[in-house]
Amino acid sequence: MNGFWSKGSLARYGASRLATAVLVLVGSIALLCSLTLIVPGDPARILLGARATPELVETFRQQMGLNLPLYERVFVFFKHALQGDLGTDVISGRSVTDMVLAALPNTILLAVSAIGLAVLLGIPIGCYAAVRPGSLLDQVLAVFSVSLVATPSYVVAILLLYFFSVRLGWFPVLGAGEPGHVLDQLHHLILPTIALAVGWIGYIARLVRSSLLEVLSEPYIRTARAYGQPERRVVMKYALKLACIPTVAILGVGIGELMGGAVFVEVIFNRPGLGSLVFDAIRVRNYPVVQGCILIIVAIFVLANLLVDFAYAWLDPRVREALGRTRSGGGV
Amino acid sequence: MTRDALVEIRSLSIDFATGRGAVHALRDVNLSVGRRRIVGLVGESGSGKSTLALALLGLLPENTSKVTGNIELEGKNLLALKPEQLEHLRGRRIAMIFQDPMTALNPVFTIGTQLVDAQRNRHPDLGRKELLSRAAAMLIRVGISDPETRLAAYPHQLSGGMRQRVMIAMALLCEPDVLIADEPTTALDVTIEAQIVDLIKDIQAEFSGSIIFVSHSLGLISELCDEVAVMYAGKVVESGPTRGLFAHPSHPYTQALLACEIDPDTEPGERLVTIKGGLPDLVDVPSGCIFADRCPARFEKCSQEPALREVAPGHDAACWLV
Amino acid sequence: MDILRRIWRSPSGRIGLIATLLVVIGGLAAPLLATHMPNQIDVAARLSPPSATHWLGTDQLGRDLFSRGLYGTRVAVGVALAVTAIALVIGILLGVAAAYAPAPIERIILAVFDIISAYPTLILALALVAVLGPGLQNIIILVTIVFVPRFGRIARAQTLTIKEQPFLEAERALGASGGRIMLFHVLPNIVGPIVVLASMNIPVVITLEAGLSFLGVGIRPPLASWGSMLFDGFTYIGQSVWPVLVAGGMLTLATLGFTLFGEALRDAIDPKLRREP
Repeated sequence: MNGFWSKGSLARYGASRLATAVLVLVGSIALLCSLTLIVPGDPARILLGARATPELVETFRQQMGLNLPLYERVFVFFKHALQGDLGTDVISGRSVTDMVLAALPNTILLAVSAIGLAVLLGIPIGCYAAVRPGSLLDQVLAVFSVSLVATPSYVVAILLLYFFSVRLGWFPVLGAGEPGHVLDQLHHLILPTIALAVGWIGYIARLVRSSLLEVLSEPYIRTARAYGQPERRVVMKYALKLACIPTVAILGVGIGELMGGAVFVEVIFNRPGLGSLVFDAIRVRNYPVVQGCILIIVAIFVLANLLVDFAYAWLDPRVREALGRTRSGGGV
Repeated sequence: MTRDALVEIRSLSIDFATGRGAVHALRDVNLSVGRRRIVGLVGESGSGKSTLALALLGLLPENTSKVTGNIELEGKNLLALKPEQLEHLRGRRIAMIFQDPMTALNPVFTIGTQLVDAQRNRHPDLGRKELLSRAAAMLIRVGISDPETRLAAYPHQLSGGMRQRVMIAMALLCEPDVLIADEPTTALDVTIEAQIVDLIKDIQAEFSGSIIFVSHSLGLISELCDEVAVMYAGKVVESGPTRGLFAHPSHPYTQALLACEIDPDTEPGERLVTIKGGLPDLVDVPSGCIFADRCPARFEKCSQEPALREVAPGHDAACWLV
Repeated sequence: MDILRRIWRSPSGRIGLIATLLVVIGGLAAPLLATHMPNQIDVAARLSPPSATHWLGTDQLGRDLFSRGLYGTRVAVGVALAVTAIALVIGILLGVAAAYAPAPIERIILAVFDIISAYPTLILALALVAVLGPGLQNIIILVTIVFVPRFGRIARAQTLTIKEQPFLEAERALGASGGRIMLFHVLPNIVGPIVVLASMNIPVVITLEAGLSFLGVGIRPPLASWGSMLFDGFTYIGQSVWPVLVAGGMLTLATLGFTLFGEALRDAIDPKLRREP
């Protein structure tokens, strides 16, 4: 992989991708701010309720920055955000940065373990189904993957909670476990992870199956076979790397879906995290907290997509060069 | 021409299942390849020559519905071997150069990795390092300079001609007894084609195995091969020593092929089109001589199928006129 | 008819079609099929399992789950159809406009699409709820915003490819106006892929709306929606699992049905679209 970083063109590509990412971040906050302008009703008044005095509403408006014009609000927000200040929770007076930082590790742990589980199970199942089309596992996969993808994650989460925690008592019902107690935290992590990953296991398995079947009929696979390479190596090395590329490509979208799913799972299992934080803030229209959380979530999403693009380039040298040459890498 | 044959194909017939019914891709084909000989297989696309090549490797497509006859390598019938035994032969005793070097190499692995893995069957005891240095030496042998850079490169970073050289190097690295070259120059442009032909001639001198050279070009065959088999619609219609066959082509199809080839005005791709008519339907094969529909010398007897008959020592043709 | 026959031919298409029909008929005929009024409270029979009077049991207020579920179908499918139809129209207008507009306007439209797509779907919906507030009408508006770029992008891409076709050049040379060309040539040509996208979109909207309602920021009680039924059931899950099973089951039947139907429709209309993940 020595050509990877040494290629100036790829660095250029990375820089332009980063610039786009920053634009999207600024744009997403601007969108949020501008919507508060279009929509009838004052967020401060909605937050405080109809009985609040005009003076109190005015103080809140100032604290929330609502009295500034749109571009200034966005500018001030980002100026502070760059200094690590995401604003202040107008209700509790706590720093939004602190709240987000406290919640973030839980959500990242949940998302990473869910993706990990989905990939670790989805890829082997997909491989097996592709190598033995029509086998029992293949047929089971065909039926279950569609049903699992179609079942919303919150339904899965509630049912898991019901059967394994309420009925069987195998897993704790609530929370993320005692801080510092690794085993307890793991115990609390298992059901939420499964709930979040289940749909993706089926989705990835189906994707790997179909792309592997396609790759296995390519001429270069025939070449590998013609040179007496054992079928294991042909599938696991020569075909799988190519078959994984579409999987990697959808992981970018997948991380976004996962961040959404995390809201449900965190609410259902009462886990502290970014999802439950943003959810609580939205219920009471705690606008600064919503804004700070949204920025971080969109940033994670954008960053994840960036990583996916690089992983994509790392897996496929053709993409690597095409990306280095031209700026538009969008069309996959 | 059976004298100390390395490969002996006896009455080989192969069918493919399709939506329209069984396609009879090969019908009763006989061919023998002597040690250190180069045998050319010539015919237009659809004549079954590539099917024959794939059958030798045991890599027939999945819709193959019937295989009868024998393919013997030193007296051992390849068609009776188990998959693992076949796998053991590939890349060790038989190696193949494919038609299109653009798609025959895996796009996401370096040339080095692919050349190393291709040798593993032949040299199971050697490590990656030794295999890489063997590969580097072979790249120089096939005319690729700066082998270290090329080994680290990916297929798309090489030109078509260079990729075909890599494929040839891959085949030679396996030191096979039988080397099958399936239209190795068809996908290349004319100047590169000439270079690759020169390379093959060059290698031929020191290569100790036999070569089966598949092509639709009689010119290339006459340049490279000791013997020729002309195929038409899944059958061998004429075979014999190159010199004799070119001097006295006996089957009307061979004669027509030669006539097209000599005419300098036709483009390479058009060569065969100038024989009027098209290939017969291989699902519902007409009875009688398979070439009768397009044959200028057709007469009543052609409604029966002619067998291969000896025209000269080692030179056979399947035509009622000989 | 030919398309329906092609959908019927595959087993999964058949399951999808049947499930979709069940859901749609159940929703349409809810007043006829329901055994109780959806909001009729029967405290004596709260959280009861299925019985002869309450076929699928009752919720924490003793409301009949079967009847509420049927009425929930109306909300779910109604919102999904409304959102998809509005997003489709706005998306096509913006997409075709972007394809024909001068570069700066095209760039602005695309930038807005990009920014909207930069949000994870649910997060954007939640952010919009934070601004707009919950309720049926707002849910329709905000979910529409979420899905407009999907239609806009494909409409623009299709228009761009069709714009270059020689037959349009000829039409223009014959003096046809831009509007005429768009109405009679561009639109009919982009309909196929967009109908497929729309049908694949319906289960996504259903899931999103139910999710928002589950979180309490979507359709508000007492209007029966699967999401809020699911939330009520979740709250009382220690006492009865039936509310969750009924709401979750109907929801899954609907999403599964529309998903399979959408996939079968895609394969029937244009098998080439299949490659796209």
